Amino acid sequence: MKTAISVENLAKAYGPLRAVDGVSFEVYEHEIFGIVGPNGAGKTTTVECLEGLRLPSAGSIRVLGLDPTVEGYKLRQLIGIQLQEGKFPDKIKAKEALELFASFYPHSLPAGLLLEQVGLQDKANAYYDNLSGGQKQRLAIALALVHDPQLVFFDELTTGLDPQARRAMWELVASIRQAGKTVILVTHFMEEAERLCDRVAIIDQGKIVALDTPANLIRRLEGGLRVSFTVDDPGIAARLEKISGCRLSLSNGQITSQCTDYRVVGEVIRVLGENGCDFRDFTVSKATLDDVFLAITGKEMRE
Amino acid sequence: MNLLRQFINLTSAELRLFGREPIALFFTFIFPVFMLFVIMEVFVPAEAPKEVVINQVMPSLMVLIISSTAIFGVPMSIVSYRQIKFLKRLRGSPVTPLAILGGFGLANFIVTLLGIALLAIVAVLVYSAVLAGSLMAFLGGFVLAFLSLAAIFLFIPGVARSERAAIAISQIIFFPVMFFSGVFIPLDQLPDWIARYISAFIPVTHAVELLQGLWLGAPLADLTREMLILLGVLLLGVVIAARTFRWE
Repeated sequence: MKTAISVENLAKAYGPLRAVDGVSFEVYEHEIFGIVGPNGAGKTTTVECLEGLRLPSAGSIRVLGLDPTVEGYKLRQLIGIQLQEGKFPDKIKAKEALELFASFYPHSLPAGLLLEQVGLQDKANAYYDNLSGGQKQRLAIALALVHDPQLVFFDELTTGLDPQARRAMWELVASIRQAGKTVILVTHFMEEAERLCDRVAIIDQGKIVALDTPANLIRRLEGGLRVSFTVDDPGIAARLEKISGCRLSLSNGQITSQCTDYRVVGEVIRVLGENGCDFRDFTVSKATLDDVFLAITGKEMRE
Repeated sequence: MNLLRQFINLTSAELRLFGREPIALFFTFIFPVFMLFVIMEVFVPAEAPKEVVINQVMPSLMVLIISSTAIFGVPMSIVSYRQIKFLKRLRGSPVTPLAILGGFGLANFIVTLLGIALLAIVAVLVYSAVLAGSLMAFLGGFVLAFLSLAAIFLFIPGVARSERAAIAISQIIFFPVMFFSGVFIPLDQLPDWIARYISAFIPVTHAVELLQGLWLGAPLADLTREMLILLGVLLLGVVIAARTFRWE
């Protein structure tokens, strides 16, 4: 696997605040690499250093073989960018915006083709402020792809979108990778990272606290399986607690136990059966990246 | 070559956006012509010869157009483009700051030029205004006045953190400046102490004096002081803008 980005000990300080505090990672070609974490964790600062829009305080960065701090102009011809909360002038038409940005590059794709690719072919002559939130983000994607770059950065692409628009956006991002591009996806939305990313770096307080494929991160989690059910007599909890590899929590007759593997789930069912316990609403679910984040940082991810 | 293409495309995009802003169109094209009629019909004494007075009123209203671009148009667009991160997004493309700022500046210059051309046409056709000086010198004076005022008011986006703040600052500045710089009221009708201690320190006043002088055909030597002051203002504006300008 070829390396598209390598970052070593990247740091960015604003006065006493260390927004990014010694971050190192590599991104391979053709992968969707997720940078996830809560708001204010340092995700955007990190990618903006990679894009050459911010000057790091320390560390070294190579993006497509270039140093963004000194070869920013050259780098910007090779990468596509969508900024967090980035908007365009209200009265610019979708097609005009694409043609304007196309004129910045020596080679670019036709506006019609790009609009079709992101499903905005009917909106070519619509003003920016008349587009819906999802359509604005689609246009931002088209603008990031206008020069057919090898590497694209998406920062909080789906924040503020309704679930349907969000899902449609995921399909679009997946298709961009399918077309052979490398994608850096910044999000505070763990489900998005889990669905889309080949690997994710979890950032908290300016540091990478975990980096792996979502499946590996979840598998490594103690209690990666969550069993929950309702009982009439909570007394059964005392017996369940004796099972090794099973952590219990109890609220209003609802028992949730985190089990290390399926063998332990079997044990739970066996104990319930042997004691003739009546249980209902029995579900087994896999842990998510949210649980991984909680386990690593001791904090809940919040929307 | 690429730089030129970027520059032209940014200019034409900005011009198109301007054409879609009714308020900006009103202040550049309609309001100055309206003010011309109001001043000529209401404020000029009936016995005064209109074909003489017009040659003082029209150049000062041209400065009204330059000022509304310099105090409202340019700062407001910069603050708005910064707030929506459009400037930052442009910086994320291979565009040089020179093309971005140059294209933006040229678009505003063209719009202002069209505004003064319309005003001049109305003044010539309706009130028989006559250019007594040289056209080239007058256009040169217009360019100097535009650059100088556009530059000095670039401090507004430098200090305003939001669009709301920029609107407030521009409004606080605009109306007093228009009244005390000879744009709405001729300087010789203002109390002497205002003309001497306030008007003289407003850059807009010197733009009015310069354009009136050039229109009325005053010898360039008589206008050296105004030109030097405007050049100084231009330099000061560029220095302040370079220190306070922020892309985001």
